[in-house]
Amino acid sequence: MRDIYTLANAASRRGRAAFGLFSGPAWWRPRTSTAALSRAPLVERLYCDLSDNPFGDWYEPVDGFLALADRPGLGVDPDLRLWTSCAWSEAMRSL
Amino acid sequence: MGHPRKAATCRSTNCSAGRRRRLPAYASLLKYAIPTWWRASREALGRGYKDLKVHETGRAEITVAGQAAAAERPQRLMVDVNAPWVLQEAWVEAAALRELELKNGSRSRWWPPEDFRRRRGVRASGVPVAIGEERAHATDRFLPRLIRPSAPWTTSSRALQKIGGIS
Repeated sequence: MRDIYTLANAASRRGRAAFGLFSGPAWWRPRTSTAALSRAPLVERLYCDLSDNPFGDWYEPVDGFLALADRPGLGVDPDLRLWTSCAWSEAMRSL
Repeated sequence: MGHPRKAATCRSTNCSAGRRRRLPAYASLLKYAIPTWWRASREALGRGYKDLKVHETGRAEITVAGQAAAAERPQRLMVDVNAPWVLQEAWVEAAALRELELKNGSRSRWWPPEDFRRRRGVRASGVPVAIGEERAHATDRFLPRLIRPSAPWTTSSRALQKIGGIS
């Protein structure tokens, strides 16, 4: 992954982090790595409004920019109560 | 008290970004009918997004998207068509896309996306090209051709950056 960023930076190419429809950790990781490694980052944010979001306002851009956390790991703690309430239920599994 | 901003260049990645507090994001619009596209694009711009990406295949829809974007600011449009074209079609469509002055490339414009001869030909047409939805992985024979400096792409997306195992 670092090799890709190195080549992209050397060629002044953009490094883009992809979107995550459910805004989970799989979306946060490339967001933070792109912020750290890319010279010209750009983050794809799927344009939709989520009814529930375990990361709250961290998923919402302000004036076209997403805020970055400066804590270790993901830097943001998900709302575990919300996470649990959205768990795949037995009723849904039977469908 | 905030952290002091670092401006040093990272030797390993040649990145001089320093410590970022925020990242520019673009609105990745869904596939709409044209009237809805106008509304959605204006709404996204009203929310502060500076860049838009559309998921459209038809030239009419892409052109309308480009016109709407250009009415606000030039060069703020990306197109993701999800690989619907063969080489000849991609060349024809590239000519139309060039007039829209795409900011950052259209992604997955031909099939198969691993066809580097086609990618080079379309890139040479003057339209920025993004990369990242290929099948390549760490042990793939395509990988060396993807990452070499002369590879014909202008933007890498996550599927390429995650080569190496972290995702």
